Amino acid sequence: MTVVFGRNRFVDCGALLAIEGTPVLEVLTDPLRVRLNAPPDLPSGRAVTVEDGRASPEAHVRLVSSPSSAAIFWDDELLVMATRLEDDLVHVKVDLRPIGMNVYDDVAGLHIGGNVMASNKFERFATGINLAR
Amino acid sequence: MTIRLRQYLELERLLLTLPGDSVEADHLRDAMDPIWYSLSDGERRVLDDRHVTPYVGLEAVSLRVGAEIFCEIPTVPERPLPDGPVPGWRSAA
Repeated sequence: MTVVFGRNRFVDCGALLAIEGTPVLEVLTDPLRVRLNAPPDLPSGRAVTVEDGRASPEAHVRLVSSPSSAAIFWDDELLVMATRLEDDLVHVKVDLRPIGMNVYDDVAGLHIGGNVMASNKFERFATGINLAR
Repeated sequence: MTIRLRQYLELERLLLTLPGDSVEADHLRDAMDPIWYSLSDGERRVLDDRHVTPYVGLEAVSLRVGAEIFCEIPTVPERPLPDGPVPGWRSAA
């Protein structure tokens, strides 16, 4: 499966993003779904966890899915949206700033902290991008 | 997906990152055996029918981001429309 994420392509990778080796963002298929595990020590206190249809904290996190898409919201703000474009091609839109993580994508690419990554292709890695503090 | 199947897949994912002939891989395979035997026939069929692509590495890129990975939660100031007519809108248009 290929995931297009912030103008980068992740081909047959496990997690798209990890912190210190712990997966933060994963896209899975059949059915299409997203796993999001924000670090528990987030300074904002909004440590979202979404895994296999379970979301925490339940009072704020909403999951929306259809056969061709899966999305995670913090209240009414979009955090992650995955859309199946083809059988083996998924597009992911991410903005984790509403939970206090400086990770988002736009036309320039994938913004992580002060870095911008675009037009990269990562193929067959357990983790695409690992963040070290 | 059952917890057992999930555990098996997580261990298997870890196994794919290790050299196949390493001692660590052997230990991990030993740890996976009891889970395999505890799976139902249906769960084993799911595992057997897969096409698995082995990973070539643990991570493609490692970024040292420090505290920049965290940010303040953005706030948008409220800008409600005025109750009455907007003065000068015609000349602004």
